[in-house]
Parts: sequence; structure tokens; C-alpha cells
Amino acid sequence: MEILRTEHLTKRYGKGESGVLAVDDVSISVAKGEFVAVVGSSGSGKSTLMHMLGGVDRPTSGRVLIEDTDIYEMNDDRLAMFRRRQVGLIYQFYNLIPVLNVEENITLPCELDGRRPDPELVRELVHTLGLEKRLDHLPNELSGGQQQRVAIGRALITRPAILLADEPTGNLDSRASDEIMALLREANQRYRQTIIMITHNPELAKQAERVLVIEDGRVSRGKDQALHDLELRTGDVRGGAER
Amino acid sequence: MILRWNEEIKKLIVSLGLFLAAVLILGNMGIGLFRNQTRREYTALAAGILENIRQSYPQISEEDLIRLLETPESTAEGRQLLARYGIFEEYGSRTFGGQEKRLLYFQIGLNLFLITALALGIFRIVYYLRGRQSRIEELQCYLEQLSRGNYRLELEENRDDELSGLRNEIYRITVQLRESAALEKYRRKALSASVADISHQLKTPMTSMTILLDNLVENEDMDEITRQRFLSEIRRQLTGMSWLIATMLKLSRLEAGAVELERIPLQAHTLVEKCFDKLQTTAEWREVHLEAELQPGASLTVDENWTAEALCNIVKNAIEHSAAGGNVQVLTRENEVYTEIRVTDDGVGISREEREKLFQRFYRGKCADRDSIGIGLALAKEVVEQQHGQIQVESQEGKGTIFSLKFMK
Amino acid sequence: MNVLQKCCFRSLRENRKRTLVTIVGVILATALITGVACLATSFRASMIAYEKVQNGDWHYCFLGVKPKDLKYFEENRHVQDISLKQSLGYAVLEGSQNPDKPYVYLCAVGGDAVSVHGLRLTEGRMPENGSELVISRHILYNGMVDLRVGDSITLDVGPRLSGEFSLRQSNGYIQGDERLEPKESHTYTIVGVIERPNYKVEDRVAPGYSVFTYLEDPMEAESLEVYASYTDWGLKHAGQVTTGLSDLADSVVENYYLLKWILFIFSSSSMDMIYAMAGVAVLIIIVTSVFCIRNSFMISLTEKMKLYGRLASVGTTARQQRKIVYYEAAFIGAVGIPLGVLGGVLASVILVRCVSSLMEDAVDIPLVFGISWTAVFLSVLLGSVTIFFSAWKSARRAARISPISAIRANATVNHGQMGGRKRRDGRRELRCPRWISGLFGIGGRVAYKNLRRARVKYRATVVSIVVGVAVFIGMTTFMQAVQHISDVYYEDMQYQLRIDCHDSDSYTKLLAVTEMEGVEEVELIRSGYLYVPGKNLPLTQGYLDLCHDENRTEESIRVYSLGEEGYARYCSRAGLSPGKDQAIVLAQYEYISYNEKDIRHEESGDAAGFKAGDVIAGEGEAQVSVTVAAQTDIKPLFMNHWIYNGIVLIVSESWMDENMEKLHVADRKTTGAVIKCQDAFRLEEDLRGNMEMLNYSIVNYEESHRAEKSTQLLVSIFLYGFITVVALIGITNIFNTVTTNLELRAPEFAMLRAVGMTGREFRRMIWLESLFYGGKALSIGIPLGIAVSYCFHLAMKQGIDMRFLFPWDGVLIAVAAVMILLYGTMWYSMGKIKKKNIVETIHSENL
Repeated sequence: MEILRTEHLTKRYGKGESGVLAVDDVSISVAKGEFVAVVGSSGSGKSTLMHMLGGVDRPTSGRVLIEDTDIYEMNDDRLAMFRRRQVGLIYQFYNLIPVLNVEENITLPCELDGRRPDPELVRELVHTLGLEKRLDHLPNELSGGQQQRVAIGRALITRPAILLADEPTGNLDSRASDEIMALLREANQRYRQTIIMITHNPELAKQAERVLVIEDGRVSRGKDQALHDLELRTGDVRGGAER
Repeated sequence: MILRWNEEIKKLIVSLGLFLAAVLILGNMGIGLFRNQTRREYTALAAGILENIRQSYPQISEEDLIRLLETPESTAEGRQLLARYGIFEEYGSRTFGGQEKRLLYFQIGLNLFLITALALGIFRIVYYLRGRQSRIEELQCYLEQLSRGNYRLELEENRDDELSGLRNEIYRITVQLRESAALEKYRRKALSASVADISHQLKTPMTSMTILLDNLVENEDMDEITRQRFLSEIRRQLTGMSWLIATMLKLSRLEAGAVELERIPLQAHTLVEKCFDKLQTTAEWREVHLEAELQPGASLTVDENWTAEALCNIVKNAIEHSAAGGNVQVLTRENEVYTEIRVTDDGVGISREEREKLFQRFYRGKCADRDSIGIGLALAKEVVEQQHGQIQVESQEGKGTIFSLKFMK
Repeated sequence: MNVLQKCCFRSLRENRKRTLVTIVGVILATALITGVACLATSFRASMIAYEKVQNGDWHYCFLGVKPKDLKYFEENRHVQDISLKQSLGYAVLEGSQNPDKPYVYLCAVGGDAVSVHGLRLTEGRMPENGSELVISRHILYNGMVDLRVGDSITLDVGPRLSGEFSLRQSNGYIQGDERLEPKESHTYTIVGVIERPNYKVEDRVAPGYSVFTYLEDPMEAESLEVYASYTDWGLKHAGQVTTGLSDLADSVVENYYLLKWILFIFSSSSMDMIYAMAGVAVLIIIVTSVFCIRNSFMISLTEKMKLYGRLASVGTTARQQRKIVYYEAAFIGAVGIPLGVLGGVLASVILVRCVSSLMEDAVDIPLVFGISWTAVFLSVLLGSVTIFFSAWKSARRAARISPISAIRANATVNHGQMGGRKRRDGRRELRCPRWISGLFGIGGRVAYKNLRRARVKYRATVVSIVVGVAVFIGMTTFMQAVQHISDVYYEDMQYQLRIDCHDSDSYTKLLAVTEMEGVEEVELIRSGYLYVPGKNLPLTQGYLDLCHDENRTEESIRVYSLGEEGYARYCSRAGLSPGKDQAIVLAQYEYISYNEKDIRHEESGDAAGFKAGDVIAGEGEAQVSVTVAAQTDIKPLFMNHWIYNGIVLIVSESWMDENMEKLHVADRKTTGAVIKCQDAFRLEEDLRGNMEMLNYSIVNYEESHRAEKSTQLLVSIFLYGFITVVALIGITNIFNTVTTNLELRAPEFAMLRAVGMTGREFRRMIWLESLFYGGKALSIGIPLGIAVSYCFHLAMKQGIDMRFLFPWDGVLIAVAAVMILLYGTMWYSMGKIKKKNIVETIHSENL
């Protein structure tokens, strides 16, 4: 069942000659429960693509349809509410609210809706994230890995339609990276969460079930060939996960 | 909070508030006018009366008259006197005549106004309620469809009120039901596939045994050695079959969800030790060295037997793929998110093509034992994944393989 | 508390300093408004109290009321209190030395007379029955009649008649044309002495000294004077109420000044000026405080950009983001406004107390503190509106913050405004003037480019400084104008006491006075005048045009002598040494006119142009001539700062001794003396005690001088206080914007230091930056301030006429203050920034 689809998505910055075409006519489709990685070197347009998928940055042309809804048909307020309920966002630099503690950060999307989240759900999520002992801590009292886990919690609390992760391990050491990736996979496995992950690291991309390669704003299907090319360039060949 | 402030309610309250304000303002203005008018008329009346009295009855002192004005006492006699002239408390005399009409108009006007305002208010409320009603009806309709098994998707709403939230939740349930239905279908297919596999797998040894038996039966003067050979072969096939059936049953039960895994907190090293006990012999026989690096205190919440079996299958696989003199190392470690059991070997490695098929049922690797049927890894995967775990394989041909089992908290 | 509130309040707690600064700004603004309002109401309350003492505590006085009609006054709903007075008549005062005041005027008053009529007891008590009397002190000092408490006095009381008319206190004594017809005789015991009553009770020309007895039986009187106080409602509809009662009396008098203060009605021009000034003051307060508060909110917003961006990425709606700003505004208001109101009230209470203690000796009444609840309510309203208005803009901005601004950490450099000229290949190049890089090095270059490119960042600071400077300069003009007004009306006296002695040997007696202790300078004045034909005098054209009456051919010239000592002192002061028979000439004119708008206009100049050696010959009782020694502008002590329209001669004692008979003299006996001394009151006491003079009067200018000086002081204090608080608000604002600016650029600075800029170059850069935008701000602010000054001047012209004074001192102070402030703030901020770790600062961007 298709959960996300883009049609000729394009984003251009600036005008005329000095304009930059960040994303060029991208049409992709993601099914429910897929774990998709979007790989590309820096400047390839992957971040811009992700922002557009998440309803954060309006495209110059093209459509983004999530659960058959054209998200850019909505006005800003509706888009904000949509984002709150249907999109989970994880960033490289966590972007937690510094004045709220762990628990408050996680339940933030619900609170914004004025709703109290199911305590069972919260408890289970916190347990899975391994943050039970840190509910009262503020972000500046946590390590990078822990902060990212809070971010994951915040992203998952509303069981959104899609979870977008922009270089989620970019700022973490290898141990924390492992934790984060394990959590993402768990979310995908246990909660059937659709995940789209941006990374420049092909190894991480291998851990996903499907890989899209983006270069100069254009996307090619994750054929093994393209990924293989990427691997050869980075020079490291290792195995990947099995589903 | 008493009430959640969403758009609808705000608009409702604002419009009702406006009506109320209009009523209050106009009402008070009217009353103010009325009051002034009454005051004027009263003063004129009193002045008239007083002057008259003073002129006609100069012996009545001014003080008395003024005092009357200040503190009028209405006596029964006085009222009776008035009554004789048809002036009652309920409605006034001719001096109040002009006043009466005006009063009446005012009263009528005020009433009309109040009625209009009230009507407008009611209309407004009705409008609001109607909106809600229609939306609830829509939801009802939708639910009926659902109960009939029609999982057609509707557009989601993103409005700022509780009906919208309700709708979103219902939508989610729809999706879940859809998936459940799909999952059920899948499971049934898987089950029938299992059955097909079982029968297929059984066919071969059955055929083999049949031939052997036939041979045995038909060939009366078979030599003892050959007979013994055939018989042991039959036994071997039967053992294999029973093992196959047992394991397949296990797997099927797992896949069908008929197994209740009893998850208890365990020390990781217990599992590893169990495994090693069981496979020590096999390892020695193959001249593979078993090593363990165990983080003290690493624990996980799993079913002991099933998980041990799964681990054993993996270690066995590692042993089978190692060359003589090779090493198989098992590592446990725990962090805040998961507990990992890692099985590393320095054997021949697994190629990419093989990796993709590794966990499929009945897939036998190149180096597999003669007797292995190829469901060990499939079983392991199922056991791990049902216990909130993940299995990953990394391998380099010629260098070795790493199996990573991560059990989430 | 919902999550938005949590975010708002906790981040306020994090940025405690910023929050505090904003609250302080709000407190200052509200306090200022409240303080000014309370001061105004206090002033009014004080004036009302003053008037009650000066002129009596009543609203309307009904004369000629028959006792039987009293009940109407008593029973009237809108008359709160009445006090009665019965005029009994005149009696001859035995032994009165004042020929114009031969009588006493006897009235019977009710028990509350002291407060109602503003009487001030100096000795004893008020009468309690119809045989007791209280007398005016004026009898003792003016009439020279020795009556004391305990004495008995018999008065034959009756009306004063001239022909058929009964004369009143407003009719002066007409010698020979009036008679007293005593009707009754009564003996009274004197039980107390009061100060001479005010003008309302006793006219200045009244021929009878006021004495009072107790009104025992009002119903027996023929007619009464009813002094009525109205209720509040009554006052509002005073016209109606008075009309309702007026037919019961012969005439009605209103207590004009008291009513004026209670009802707050002045002449239209004064009202205009008051409204103009009040309007200006409120405008200034609002402008500065709105600026300060709005800036604070904008700054708070900038600091919280990341927060808003993150919230937006999670999915807040525009309204939710706005709400956060409004929560902040509500919090700041809830804390700041009450504190501000309290502070304002407190400050004005303290001010009133201080000033009243300062002025205690000068004025008899203590200043009253009055609080007007409407004023408090208005200032709360104004404060809330200011905060709301300031927050509104920030709220709108907050709503538009998109998640992108949180994701991308760079916020400010505009992509379009690169500045600089286009080179031939189309690229823009920003050239730094060579003198800057020469003088200031790399630091200067970076600073210059920063300034040119990131204009928006500096706008807030520059605008703050501009507003602060303009307001300050405007205020200095305002203050000077107000000072000028008070100067115009209150001139400095050169001497404190003036004695006029009418004895025959007045001159000798006054000579004795000059030897008294405490006397610093004395002029003994004898005067006369003579007529000189105008054509013989070198009169100036100006004088002729304005002051000269065409029908008059002769000029009347006054001649004065100053006593030996006085003359010698005067000559040395004027730098002249005339001969014994010569005279010093003063000739000036001053023409004051009021045009149709009641605006005062002055023109002055020399009336004549004499040269040494000119002879003035004229006619007094006999022919007189005198030679002119010189013409000067320097005036003798007694002339003070007056300008005598015309010509005045100052002659030596010997000349006066010889020629006085030849002059016309109003009163040959009278000699005057003006005394400059330290302690005028004590000297007056001494004089009164020691003097053997019989017929004399002493005027003590010190008293009114003190009152005036105190008023001036009061006005100055008020103005300086006002301008200080306004300046404080401005300073808070500037401090706020500058420190934030610098703190926000901390990563940039850290980068520069990491790249290798030395401390010295760094300081140069900062100094140059402050110089630049300080200079820019001043170059806009000073002309603006001068324009504001001019506007004030135009507004002031409504009330008085004066030339436009260019606010040099205001400008200089402003420049100095700005420079010091900027440098100080930067130094302070730099100190804090230097301490931070370079790497941490750069990385903190990313958290």
C-alpha cells in the first residue's frame, strides 16, 4: 500500500543564471512499512528533498502526496497540524527544545494538540528507548546518543505516517550510531513504521530495505549497480542486513 | 481546562457574546431613557401637587411637604382614596396616561428585541450543532463501512477540534485493520507454503525409504551386510524425517504465533554457556576453537530454551563454515538500548548472493552438514524477531562472518 | 500549564538578564506615568488645600439671607455644610495710628469659622460666646494699638454711612465724607489674636480692622451671610444648584480660585498650554517606552529564534507561536505594571514629602499627596497597551518563523545587499576607504564591511540612540523654556526689606538703622521729581514712538539720593566718580503688550542718550538744574531689576540736602530704606522691637521670595526627575540593544580570534564599529533633536513669547553621553565574551 508519492518534485533557489536547482524532477513512491534510505554526497540535494517530503519547505513545482493527500494544498496552519500528527522528523543536530525535559520533549507533539498521550504508550516507548532513568533530565544533561533517542521518541509518539531522518547518526560516535540504527530498525519492524532516512554513508544505507541514490538533484532507483558504484568510491565493502 | 478552545467554539462564543452585548447595551440605553423620563415626570407632578397644596392650604408647612417627598409612606387609606378614582397600583391614572403608552411600547419593544436576540442566538447554536451532527453522521457512515469489511480510505482532516482527532484515530484503525487482514492472508499463504514444503521435504526420504524397503522385501537373499546397510539407511532417513517434522512443526508454530514464548530476564552468559556445552563436541570434532567474551551482567529478557536453540543454530552454522583450526568467538554486550550477542568466525565467509538467501527455509549453505536440512537459521531468525530482536550478517568472502543478534529492551 | 507556557516561562528564566531588563523598562515607564499623574493630582490637592487656607473653605457665599430661609440651605440635598456670618457693623478704634483705618469691623461667626474663613490664630482661642472677641494682629502692627489677650474693650457698633449709603469694607475710608452711627454698645473680652485675614474676608483698603465674636443666635439676626459647601454632585451642577438658591439671597459670591482648582478650569490660553505640555510629556513617555519595550521584545525574539524554529518543525501553528510571545508579554506586564505603579506612587510620595520639608519654612501649608485612581487606572491601561502593542509586532514575526531557520543556523546576512560598486565583470566590490584601513588596520576593514552589509542588525541600535538623543535635546529646550517662564514671572530681588518711615525725623531714625547688626547694604532713599521740556532732552526715537504721549511736552524726571554709604557703593559699582554737584542718569524704557491671544510681548531700550556734561534744567517747586556726570545702565539697589520708563537721576547726599526743597515731593516727611541682609526675618523682628519710629511700614520680600524660589526649585526637581527617568529608559534601551547585538555575534568574534586576530586589532574593530554607528546615530539624532526643540518652542509660543534658544548644552551632553555609554557597554560585553572559550562558542551554535 502506497503511503508516499512525489510527482515531478522540483526545488529551485534563486533566479535566473544564479539560480540553483537543488531537486530536479523527482518522482518516487514509498510503500507502507518500508525502510528507505536516500544516499548522496553533500550538495546532492538530499536534505532539500527531505524537507519537502516533511512539509517543511515548499517545492517550486510538483506534488507531494502522503496517504493520498497533497500536502502543499493546505495552508500553513493545516500543514503545521498535519506535520504534527503525520510526520516524524529527526535531525542530525537533534533540535530538542532546551527548556523542556526528556518526557516533555517526547510528548511535545501531543501537547501541542492539546491532548494527553496514552501513558502506556509513553511508558513502552520510553522503555524501548532506554530513557526510563532520565525522564527529568534536560537536553544539555544528555549525551549525543541519548538526545537523539529523545528525538526519536518525539518523532514516534504520534505514530506518524512517515518518519523522516536526516543524517540521524551524523553527529554520533559508532556506538551511539549502532543504538540509533537499531532503534530505527526496531521501529520499522515492530511498529511497521515507514522510515525514510537520508545519509551520505553507504554502509548505513545498506541497513535499509531499499536504497535511492540521489545526485545533482536527480534520483536513480536503488539498483545494486549504483550502490555498488558508490561503494567502490568509498572503497569499503561490507555486508548488509537481511530482511 | 474546562473546554478546549478550537475555532468552532470560539466563533460560537464570540457571536453569542456579541448578541449579549447588543442586548445589554440597547436594553440599558432604553432603561436609562425610561428612567430619565420617569424622573422628569415625577418631579413635574410633585412640583405641581406641592404648589397646589401650598397655595390652597398655606397652613401646611413646607417642611412637612418636603418631608413627604423625601420619605413617602404609602398608607392604606391613601390607596383606598386613589382607588375610588380608579387609580390603582397596577396601572396608573391619567397623569400617568402618556407614560402608560410609552411604557407599553417600551416593554413590547424590549420583549421583541430580546426574542429576536434569543432567536438569533438559538439559530447560531443550532448551526453549530448541526455542523457537528453532520460530521458525526459522516463518521458513523464510515464506521458502518468498516464493519462491513470495506476498508476504503478517506481523506484525513486536519482541523483543530476533537472530531478531527477522532477521525484521524478511526482512520488509523482502518489502516491497522487493513494490515491485519493482509497479514492474515499472508499468514495463511505462509502456512500453506509450509505444508507444501513439509510434504515436499518428506517426499524425498519417503521415496528413498520406499525404494530401500522394496529392495529389502523383494530381495530375499540380500547379504547381511547390505541388509544392515539398507536398514541403517532407512533408520537414518526416519531420524532425519522425524527431526524435520519436529523442527518444521516448531517453525510453523512459531510463524503461526501459536507458541507462547516465556520471556524472563536472563543473564546472557547463561545462554552462551548452554550453547557451548551442547556444541563443544561438534567443535572439537571439527577442530574449531570456541571462545567467549562475555560482558558481566549483560542480561536480556527472552525465552531461555527457544533462544538457546536459536543461538546454537547460529553457532553451529559458524562452526560449519570455519576451517579446521579456525576460531569462533561469541561476544555479549549490553547498552541502554539493546543487548547484543555476536558470533564471529574466521571461516570462508558468505557471498552476497548467499547472504540474501541465508535465512530462507531449507536453504543449505555450501558447507552445510549432510544432515542439516537448512531450517536452523530460519528458525533462529523467527525466534529472535519474535522477541523484539534483530539479526544481521556481515561477511567477507575468505575472511569470515559476523552474526549479530540484537535484543531490544 | 500547557507546553507553550512552559516553553515561554522557562526560557524567560534562562535569559534572566534580558527578562529583567525588559521588566525594568516597563517599571520605569509605568512608574513615570503614574508618578507624573500622582504629582499632578498632588499639586492640585495642595493647591486646593492652599486655597482653602488662603481664601476659606467654602464654595459659594450667599449674602443677605434671611434667617427664616436658612432651612433651605440646611435641607438642600446638594449643600453639604453651611457656615454663618453676621455682619454687626463698625466701631471706632481708639488710638489707631493709621489714618486710613480708623475703625474695627465686627462680625459674628459660627464655630467653624477658623477653617471656613481661613483664619489663623496666633494667640489664645476663638470666642465661644457673644461677649468674647478675637482681634486681628494687624491692629497691633498697623494701627499701633496695644491690645492684648485678656483686655476688655467696649465697642459702639453701628453702620458706616455716606449720605444714605451704607459703606462696606470694599469702600476705603473717605475722610470727611462719612460718618459712623453707633447703634449698640457692647463690652468684649479679648480671648485671641489672629493673623490679618485674607482678601476675601478683609479688603486691602478696608477701613476697619477685622474683629470677630461668636454668633450665638442666628435666628435673631437681620440678615446673614451663608457660606455653603456643595456635595460632589452639587459642584458638578453648581449652576443649577446655585440658581435654585439664589433667590433667597441678595447676591452670590463664588470662591473662584478654590473652585477653579476643584473643577479644574483655567483661562483658555493656560489650559491650552497645560494640555500641550501634558500631551508632550505623555507623548515623550510613550515614545521612549514603546521603543524600549518593543526593542526588548524583538531582542527576546531573536534570542528565541532557534526555539521557535524547532517548535515550528514539530508542528506549531502560527497562532501557537504568537501565543508564546503573548504569554511573555502577559508575564512581563503582570510583574512590571504593578511594580511600576507602586514605584511611581512611592516616588511621588517621597518627592512630595521632600519638597514639602524643603518648602516648609517658606510656605505655610504642607504639600498634600493626592492619588487619583483614574490616573492609576489610566497608567495601568497605558502600560498594558504599550506592552501589547510592542508584543504585537514581535508576535507577528514569531508566527512567521519557519522550521528552516532552526535547521539552518545562519540567520541574518541579506542576500541582496552586498553593497559596493560594480566592477566591470559585473561582480560587486565593496571597497573600504583607505584612511580607515590605514588608521584601524584589518579590524577596521572588517568593521566597515560589517556595517555596510549588515545594516538591518544595526538598525535597532541606531534607532534607539537616535530616539534617545532627540528626546534628550528636546527636553533640555523644554526645561530651559520652563525655567525661563518662571524667571519671567519671578524676578530676583536685590534686597530683602523695605522700610518706609513717615515720622518727621525719619531720616535720622533710618540712619540709625544702618548701624544695626545684620545689615549688609543699605540705601536711604529720598526722592523728588521735576519737569523738563521734552525738546531739551536727547530722547531716543524708540522711546518717543512707544512710550511717549504726544500731548505731553514735558518729561517728568525722578531724582533719587541713596544715603552716604549707598551712594558711595553705587558709584563704585557703576565705575563712576561724579562730582558733588553732578548726577548720574539712567534712561530706559520697556514696553509690554499683550496681543489678542494674550501672549506677552516685550520691547525695551534706552529712552535717551546723555553725554557727560549735558545739563538738565527743569522745574520743580523752583528752577533746578544739574550737570550730567554720565549715563549708565547700572541700577542702584532699590531699583532692583525694574525698568523705569523714562529718565532717572541719582544724586549725592549733599546735592539732595541742598536741592530737595526745590523738587516736587509727594511726601516730605517720608524716607525710605532698602536693606540687603542675610536673615530678613530676624532683622524685621529686631526692627519692630527696637525702633523708635512711630509711623512706619516694613515690607519683607524674603517671604515671597522664598516661596518663589521654592516653587522654582520644585519645578526644577520635577523636570530633572522627569528627564532623568526618560534618560534612564533610553539608556536601558541602548544597553539592551548593544549587548544583545554583541552577544549574538559571539560566534563570529570567536571565529575571528581563532583565525588569528590579536586582542588589539579586535579592540580597534569594536571601537571603530561603535564610532561608526554612534556617529551615524548622532548625525541623525542631533538634527532631529533640534527639530523637536523647535517644535517645543512653537508650542511654548502659545503661552509666552521668547526667542529660540539653540540647545548647545543639550547637544554636547548628548554627544558625550552617547560616546561614553557606547564605549562602556561595549567594554562590558567584550569583557564577558573574551572569557568564553573559542571552540565552545563556535559549537554552541549547533546546540
